[in-house]
Amino acid sequence: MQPEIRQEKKNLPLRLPFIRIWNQTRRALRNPPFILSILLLVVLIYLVIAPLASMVKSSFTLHPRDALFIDGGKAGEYTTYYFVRTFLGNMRQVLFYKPLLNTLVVIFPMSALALLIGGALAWLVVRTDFPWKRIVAKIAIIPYMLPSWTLALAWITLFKNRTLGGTSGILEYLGITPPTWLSFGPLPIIIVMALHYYPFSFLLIGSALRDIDTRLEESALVLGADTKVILRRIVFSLITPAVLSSWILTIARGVGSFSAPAFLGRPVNYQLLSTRLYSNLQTGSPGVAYLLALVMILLAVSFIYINQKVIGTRKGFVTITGKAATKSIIKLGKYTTLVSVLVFAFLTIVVFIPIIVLAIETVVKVPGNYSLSNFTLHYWLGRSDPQILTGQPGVLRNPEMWRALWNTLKLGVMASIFCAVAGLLIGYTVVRLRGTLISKILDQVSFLPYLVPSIAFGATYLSLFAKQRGFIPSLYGTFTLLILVTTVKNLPFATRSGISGMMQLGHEIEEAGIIAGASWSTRMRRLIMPLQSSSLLSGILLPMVSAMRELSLIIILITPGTHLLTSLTFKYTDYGYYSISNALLLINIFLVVVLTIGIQKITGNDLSEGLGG
Amino acid sequence: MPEIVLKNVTKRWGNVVAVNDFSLKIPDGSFMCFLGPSGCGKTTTLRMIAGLEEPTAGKIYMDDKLIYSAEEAFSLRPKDRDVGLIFQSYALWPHMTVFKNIAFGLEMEKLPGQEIKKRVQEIADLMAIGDLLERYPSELSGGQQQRVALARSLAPQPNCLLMDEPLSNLDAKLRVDMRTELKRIHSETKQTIIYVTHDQLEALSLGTQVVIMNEGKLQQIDEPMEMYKNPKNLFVGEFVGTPRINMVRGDLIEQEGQFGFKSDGIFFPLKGIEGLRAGQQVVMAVRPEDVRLTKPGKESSFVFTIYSTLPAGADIFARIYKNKTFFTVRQEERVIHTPETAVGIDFVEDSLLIFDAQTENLLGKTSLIKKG
Repeated sequence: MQPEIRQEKKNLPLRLPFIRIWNQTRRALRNPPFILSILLLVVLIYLVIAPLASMVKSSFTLHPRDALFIDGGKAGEYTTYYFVRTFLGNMRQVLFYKPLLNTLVVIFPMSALALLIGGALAWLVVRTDFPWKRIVAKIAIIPYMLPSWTLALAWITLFKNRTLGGTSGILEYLGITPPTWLSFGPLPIIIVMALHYYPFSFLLIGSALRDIDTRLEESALVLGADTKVILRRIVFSLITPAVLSSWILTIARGVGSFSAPAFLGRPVNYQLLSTRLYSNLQTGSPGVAYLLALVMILLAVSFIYINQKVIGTRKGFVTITGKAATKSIIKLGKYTTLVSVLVFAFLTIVVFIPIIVLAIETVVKVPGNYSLSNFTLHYWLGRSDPQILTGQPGVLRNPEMWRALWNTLKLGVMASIFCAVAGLLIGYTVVRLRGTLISKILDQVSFLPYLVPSIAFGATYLSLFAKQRGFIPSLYGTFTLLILVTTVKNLPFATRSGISGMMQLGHEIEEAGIIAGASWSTRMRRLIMPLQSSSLLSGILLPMVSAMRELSLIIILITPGTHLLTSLTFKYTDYGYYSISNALLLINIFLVVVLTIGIQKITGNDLSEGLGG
Repeated sequence: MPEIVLKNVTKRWGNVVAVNDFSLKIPDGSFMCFLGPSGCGKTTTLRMIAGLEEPTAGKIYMDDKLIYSAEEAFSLRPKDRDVGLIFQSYALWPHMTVFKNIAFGLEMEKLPGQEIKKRVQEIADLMAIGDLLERYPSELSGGQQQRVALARSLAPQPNCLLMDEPLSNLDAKLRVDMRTELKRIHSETKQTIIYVTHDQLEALSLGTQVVIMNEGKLQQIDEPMEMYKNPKNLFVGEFVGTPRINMVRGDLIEQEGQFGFKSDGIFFPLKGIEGLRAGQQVVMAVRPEDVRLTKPGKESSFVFTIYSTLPAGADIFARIYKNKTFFTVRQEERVIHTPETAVGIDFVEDSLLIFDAQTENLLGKTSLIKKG
């Protein structure tokens, strides 16, 4: 039986192109994902690509001030002045090669140490019969939630010595004078950064270990392999990609890290690329600073690229998910007590002692004297006294602190909400328009900020928003700029979670709505949003916490009017007012911890509600 | 009630052709099954009718109304096409109760609350889920979810119901029950149903018409039994029917004045019919139930050997061989032969399908000439 196909009247050939254009336009305008994708693309190009381009351009454009020093130089002209000065000139060692070398000297041992600590803890928690798994898993990730200079400040408080002038640290008070290499410079930077970044390795390796399909191990077991062989030939091979990834990520992160090097390196003039970039901006050489930022971006990108190349073909490992069956668990046996003591000692040293040390410093009247008679609450509650720290009032009486606290909260809340919503929308369009060019571009561009080290990303924003461009005013010095930069820097995570959320949701949930005749806004409001609420909320938590403890990203964009708790801490440390900066830091930690716990409680509740359980 | 016409519909994704120049008329009130292996374009075709996918070329009409034209870049929005669609995954909204799931489409039509309540209750009762209205989808069994999905798509009384492998997530027993149910709903509502499946048994037992597709191309449209008896080509013959049809590759020759089929050193004398001539390379195919086991030597000149016997309850299937040629036979006798037993074979009259080896099209049906 052949279908009979009717003949229909032919369109006049002339009219057809018009009908096509008319219909196409009408449908494009009625296609919200399409319109949305265009809008998002324009915004993303402006907020991600344009700053990068602007920074490249600025580093080859003569700055008005420098034009005075150069014969025949005109402001705004193309110049290789900065390039020559940074990489080839007399100052090249100080400006570039030493900081580059120092950066490499710091990040490689730092990342190795972080990997070692994170990997060992992950192993202990997942693959042994260690009795305190749950609590250790919870405490172990705290260092990453704390501002990265918590440990740096605590380190200074403990190990600071008088050779550099100023007050002494706790150790020196107790009669032990630590050598300068232990107080400042590469060694403390390496240790402090490693202790901040090891949770990366802990989480990545831990989940790789947990997700290994036990059947793979059981197969080997059945074939007669003993535990040692299984571990070596199967388990270690399977987690290699995760180990490599976390190592590279730590390196890439370390490149852009500013706070620990600033607190622990600058006092002895041990400069990394990140701190050199900052001082170049302070001393008014943005051209040089931008070039350093470019080098940092290149470094980070090449590390991540190498990582992709190396594990690219082995990626399949990571996605293997198994059932939670018994794994070949190592029995600690008689070592249980020893291991427990070591682990808790480590966590105490890394998490609790620093906070206690910081707290002690804030209640000591004359720095360097830790006797009980020297106890004071002045740095918390005291009124301005010209005798103490040039009249700085206690932090709780300091209007600057309250402004910074308010700003920090505002920044965290606003940036994280923008970020989560943008992540959801980008995730939605990327998944809906999958296979189209615009979807690929959106996906890639929204991921770019991930590759740019924090302080370099801040530099790109400085270069773009330092002056008015077209209808967009100069945003330097405004709070809006801080919100923008924080939102965009955190976008990669939000977008990933948005994309995976939408992928999990599948397209049929929305298509069922299309068939039922629901408009796009109805579908978003009643079908997509409610089902993505949990991913939306968790998408808010991460940027919120990271925004509230971020320094590297915003340090060069901060002006006196827009101080945050973090930048204020840095300012007082720079003055040498450690009592005040420690108090500010404690407030900051308190804020982050309270919010984290609070939001986890809320998301926990909403999750079960959202699924209608 | 609509008649749906697809005219030269093609769907390409880059270089991949999912549906290739597909023309089809789906008569009003029919239960049309799209059957084919995965990736043959059947789901894509269904989604193009629903308006969720756009053809690269071609036109689609519903009744006399144009609903899609690639040439004019015209596409009627899904909601204006008035179709219901049941997804393979059901796509029930997990955050809504059964009631809200079913009511959603009615709300979109802006019906008054009382009316919605009444209609939801009616359709839920029809589907025997009237007492589950306050539950969430996660609290339902697979079969109940399936009924909710059906109720949800039936509630707005669509012109045409599209189903994309709706039963594939159910266990075997439930699937049979739901087939009965679907067939009953169709005979009650007389609604045009387009049903996508890769399960040939499902297509044969449900459809008033079956469309077989392969690699984006239409292979055959026919009534189910016609499809089974007279496959137009080798693909259809092979795809429809379990166990699979027996196929032997060989040549049509003239041997000692006798026309027949030769393969693997075995000669089958055949009745000559129009379209068959000596010298053709062909594939001879025969259904397992059209092969008969006989006593060797006396009733048949072919001596085959039992390879294994597979009792399957109502039927007993035997696998037999000679040289390298194997046949699957549905035994008439309820005997379980031991392996290596010698047997003779015979074929039912007019049951040998001869396909061209190159084009794979059916050349004709013929019979074995019995000896003596």
